[in-house]
Amino acid sequence: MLLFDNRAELRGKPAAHALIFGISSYRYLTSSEMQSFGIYYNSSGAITGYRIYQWLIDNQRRLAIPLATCRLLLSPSAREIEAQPELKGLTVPCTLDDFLLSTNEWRTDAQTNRDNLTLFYFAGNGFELGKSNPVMMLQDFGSGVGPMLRSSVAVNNLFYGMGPTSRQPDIARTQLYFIDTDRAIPKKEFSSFELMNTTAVFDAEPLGIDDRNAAVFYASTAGGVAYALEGSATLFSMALLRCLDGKAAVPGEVGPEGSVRWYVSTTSLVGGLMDTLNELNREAGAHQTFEVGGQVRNSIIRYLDEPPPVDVLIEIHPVEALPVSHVEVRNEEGTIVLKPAVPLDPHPYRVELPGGYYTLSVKIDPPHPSFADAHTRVRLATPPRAVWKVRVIS
Amino acid sequence: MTEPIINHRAARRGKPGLHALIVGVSRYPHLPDEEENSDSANLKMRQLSSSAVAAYKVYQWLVKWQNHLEVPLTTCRLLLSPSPVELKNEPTLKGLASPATLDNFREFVKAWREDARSSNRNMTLFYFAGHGVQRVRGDHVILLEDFDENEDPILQHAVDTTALIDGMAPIEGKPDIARTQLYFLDACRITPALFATYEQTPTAPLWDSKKKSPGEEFTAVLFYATGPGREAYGIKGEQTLFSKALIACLDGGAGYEDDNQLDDQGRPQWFVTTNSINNALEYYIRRVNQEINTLQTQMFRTSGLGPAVVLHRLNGPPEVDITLRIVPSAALDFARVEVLNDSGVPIWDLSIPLCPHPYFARLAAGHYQVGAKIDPAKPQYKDYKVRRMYVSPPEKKWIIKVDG
Repeated sequence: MLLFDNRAELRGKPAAHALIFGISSYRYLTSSEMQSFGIYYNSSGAITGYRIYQWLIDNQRRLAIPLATCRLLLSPSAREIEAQPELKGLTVPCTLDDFLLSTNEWRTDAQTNRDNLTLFYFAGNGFELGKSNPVMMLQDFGSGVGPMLRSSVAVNNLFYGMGPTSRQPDIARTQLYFIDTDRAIPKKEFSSFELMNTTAVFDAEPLGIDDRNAAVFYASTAGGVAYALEGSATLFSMALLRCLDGKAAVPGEVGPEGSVRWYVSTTSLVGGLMDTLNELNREAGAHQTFEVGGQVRNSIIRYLDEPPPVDVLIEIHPVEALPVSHVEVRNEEGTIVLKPAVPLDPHPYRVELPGGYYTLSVKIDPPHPSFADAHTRVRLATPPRAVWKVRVIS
Repeated sequence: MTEPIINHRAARRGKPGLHALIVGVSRYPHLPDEEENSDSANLKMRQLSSSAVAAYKVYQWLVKWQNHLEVPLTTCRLLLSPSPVELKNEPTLKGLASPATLDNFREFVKAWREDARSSNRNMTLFYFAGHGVQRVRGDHVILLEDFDENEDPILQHAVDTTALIDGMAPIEGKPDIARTQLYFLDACRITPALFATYEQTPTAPLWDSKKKSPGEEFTAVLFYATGPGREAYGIKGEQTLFSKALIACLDGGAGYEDDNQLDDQGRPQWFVTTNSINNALEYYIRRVNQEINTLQTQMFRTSGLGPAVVLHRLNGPPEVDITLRIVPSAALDFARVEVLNDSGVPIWDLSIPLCPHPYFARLAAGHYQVGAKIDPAKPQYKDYKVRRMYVSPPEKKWIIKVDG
């Protein structure tokens, strides 16, 4: 369903085209059949897809390439509609036919300008068919008509079908894929087959130079599980959105006016995702790690309006020096932004500061034979967390 | 004889170790000479003149930095097939390593895997420089010394890197193997037109493809010297562009400061990680291209990234390329630039006018203060207020804007 269309305004200009799937309701899969595939009941695919869509709409003007189209296909469960009633009006079928139709329309938009950017997000069930062969399951998977894997789609087929060829020389060269599924290997179910075929999305065209910057972010590693919070979104999507909102931001070059523009890029996302995902892992008692495949090269995804907030932890070493350690933090203008009471409590001391340069000093007062003032140093606070350790041993 | 050229197994027994396999093929006796003006070759391939040196330089880097590696170097195997020009430029190569034939490669790779299997806390490093092709989307085939395009099967002396990497995965019954694996594939990824006439072009089998152990995660980070369908380049008799850029990254060009890890003096330590290499490689490939004055556009690609894997610790802040530009350039005769270090001490004595412009220099990574005064004062220009600049690899551009 094409929910957002700004093509007329952006005609002839580089534009971003997004395609989002969120599937929680599988027509033919019972929970025992799911278990035989090594997967679990998906309680959050549609909510996840919806949140990604909302984020894109809210941030359309902050993207490195402005948003031109966004297609959203959601098949929520009854529980999700209860938790997020807006999903009811957005519910559409997410069958194989719907997938084929929307991916082809999306590709047609992507083909209009090589400076376009595409974004693909799939939240739903999936598994690993073989080594390095992740598969996404569509709503009508398991109908019993045709081969067992009918209505499942290989990520590799989608990825290669979006590559530049003589038929689509001007396809978007910057492409982002987010595959938010399990990647369990369904050993038991598949062992009795010699060959199992997923459904192709695109034909394989003759090879050419593939100069895309195309990163595929997998929510889990091969054999791993992607977790979600019941009735809420997946851990991966929550980590991703936190990163896009600033947790993976990095400062750009200092501009001619001395200002710094913060941005999130593919490589800063790679760098920031694990810390953010680990925070959520701790909260949810999960163990999830991500992986990035495809052809990774740095591309800016979005710009921030202002420096992102950064969790700063200040640690004094040794802790015996705490009763005499006076901490002071100044910002770039030399204004004191932090002068906590002595001793630091709690320790390590946590404070949130806007990303940027700070001068951190620690003075020992009254003088103590075992400790010495710490050399005043400039620190750069960058998300997701800055740990400022200071040694005051004399 | 598959014994490693470096073997610290005895000293490292029971501890995790890095196991490296480095292969460099320039000499392809069944291919025309590099200079030969012959169109007889169907694949348009010729012998190479920089891959063996490239592999040797990667080996030298490992030896030099072995005590700084996050996972200490335990074994290193080396296969080299140097060209005459490389032997002339780098005589050490003569007899240093076994030639990179298919038979040797197979034996070495199996022995390497056995070492990798000694612990799942091990790390592996694989580097290949030589010819490479791509048959179908997503694959990459590396050609060994005895490759001969007139043979049938044509790729019987070539290896599919996907099969190589798959064979290094934890498998059922043998889950213990290095869970962190780095692959550097410094070879072309072109698809010769000849391949269109084949239905199948099987490569030499390395090992059986066994089922991956379910639930066992492992990280394999792949750095490709170039993108699919593209060529990778070398500097004749010296080394490949990619290896030169890679070593610049490893030497500190991809340094990453970790405020969380302090040295004895209380200063943050610097590391090189898989992610920091990914961030810096593009800059260094571009720089190497400029140094050798070529218009070749080589672009690297990475796959399998995830949480950063620390490769080694640097001795201190690495050197960073700085480009300083005054805007507008008409103000050059009046703009006195000041650059102070973290302690406020001037570190550059820049005369007026700044020459050359843009001014290019290298500085140790860290914090600096940069400003410019208009001297004598001119109504159309203004001072550039002193600002803090954080210098970190791979490069920094300072634009000093003084127009009013």
